Amino acid sequence: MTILIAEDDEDDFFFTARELGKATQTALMHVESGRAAIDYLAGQGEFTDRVAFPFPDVMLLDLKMDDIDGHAVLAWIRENPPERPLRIFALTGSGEMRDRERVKGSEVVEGYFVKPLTAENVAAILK
Amino acid sequence: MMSSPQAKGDLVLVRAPIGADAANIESVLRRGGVAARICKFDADIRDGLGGECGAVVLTEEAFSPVLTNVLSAGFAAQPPWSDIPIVLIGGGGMSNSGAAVANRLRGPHRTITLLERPLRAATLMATILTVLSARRRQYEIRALLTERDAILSSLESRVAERTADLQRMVEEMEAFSYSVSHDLRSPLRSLDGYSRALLEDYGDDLPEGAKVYLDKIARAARRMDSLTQDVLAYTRAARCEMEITAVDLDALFAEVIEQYPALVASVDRISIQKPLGWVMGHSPSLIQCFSNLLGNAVKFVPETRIPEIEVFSEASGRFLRVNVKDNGDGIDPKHHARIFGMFERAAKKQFAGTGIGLAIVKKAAERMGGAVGVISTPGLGSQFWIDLIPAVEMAVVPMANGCALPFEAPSAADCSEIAFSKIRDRS
Repeated sequence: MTILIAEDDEDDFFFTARELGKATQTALMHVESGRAAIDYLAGQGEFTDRVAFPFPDVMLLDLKMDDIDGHAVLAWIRENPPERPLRIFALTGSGEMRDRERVKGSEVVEGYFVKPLTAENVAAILK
Repeated sequence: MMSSPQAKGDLVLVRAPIGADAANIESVLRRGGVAARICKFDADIRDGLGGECGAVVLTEEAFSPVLTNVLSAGFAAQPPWSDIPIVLIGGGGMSNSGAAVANRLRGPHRTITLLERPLRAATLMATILTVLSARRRQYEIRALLTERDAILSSLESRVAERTADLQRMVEEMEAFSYSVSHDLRSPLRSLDGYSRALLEDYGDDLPEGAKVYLDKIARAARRMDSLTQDVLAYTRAARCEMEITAVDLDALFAEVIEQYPALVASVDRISIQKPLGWVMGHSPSLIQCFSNLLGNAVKFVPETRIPEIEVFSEASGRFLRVNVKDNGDGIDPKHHARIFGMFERAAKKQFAGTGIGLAIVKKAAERMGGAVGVISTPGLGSQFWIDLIPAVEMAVVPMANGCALPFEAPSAADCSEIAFSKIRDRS
């Protein structure tokens, strides 16, 4: 199992990875921008090697990133549905209604978590 | 006397077709300092009335059906401020024919002055000066009206400008609060997170005192975080644009409980008497209000007691009153007015809170046209209520699957339009 974390904040990545690490030894791949997340999913740019960068089973996607944000990544995924099953969870630093509403309308997103991840969130992700 | 600077507006039209009448009148006026224009044809009168003219002098002999028509049209075409004075010089003597002509001319907004022959120059001049003076008053009214129009149109453009400014401010405010809620809270999350990580990963190596400090750091960060959230929520309740629609309170409460983890945990303790009904309100603000009230109800119960919360609605005058009743410690009546203010807390320190929650509820309820209040006796629990405008006039369209959907925001103003477009949709 591979989990891809798209998160541009170093500290938030640390906390997310740490919480996941308490429950699983699974491989965590980290990209620091929406652009890189799209490249990783598409297997393009620096991510062409699928052995080094296996297609993820789960993606944790930070909604607020500079330039191409989580919403834009979701839009790209809707236009380019992956061939393999991909479970997506949205992460946000706030419980902002507008983020929640925007994600709610997106059928590709399985869950919506306010950072930091809790043990319950991790259990839902690893289910 | 020299002609005044207003000579243009003072121009007197003279139509006197017999003999030297016109020339004589013109000469009297000129000597009196008033410019006159002799009109040889009725058409000259028509053209003169269309321009700027101070008065019209006519002799009785000038009258014909054509001139009567020209005058009628000229009078009718006057702007609202204008009332062109007519000086009519009649035949005099026993004929009284001048008076007859004058009577035919009279009507609303027609100032007719009748002079009879034999006519002295001084009489004519005095009359002309009087009517010109009245005419100047009319010009002053015209100037005032023009000024008023200019002010009105500048007001209109200023209002449009202000509206655009406000719109921009609201957008900036929104962007600001979005940015604050993400960016300001992020370092607080890190403070809290690293403090916890330190305790979890290196706790065994730390002396007890260090752990206490770490715990205090984490707690301060969490408190700062909830303050930030509440200040933002208050700003939003006070400033956001509120789109008022008909809201189903049963569905709203389900959403409130689903969204707030602290409430989900206590869900067994919250009994909701359905149906609560429909109200006119701003859905996100209502969610904010009721989650605050439910949050308080869950929070302010002593540890020794199991929270029991009741939610029920009832008619209250023209409002629908939604009550949130708890079995907590209650609030002393002397604090009742105070607790809805910013940073006011009735509770002792042992309960976490920012003191903004109820201020948010009050502000939001008031902006939706409602009110808030509390009924409480110390020791016997509190009953907070929000009065909201019931959505009674709402048209309900039954759906095929048995549930009902309200029309969108059925405000009185656009009801007829909704009905119209519905009828058209069917064609």
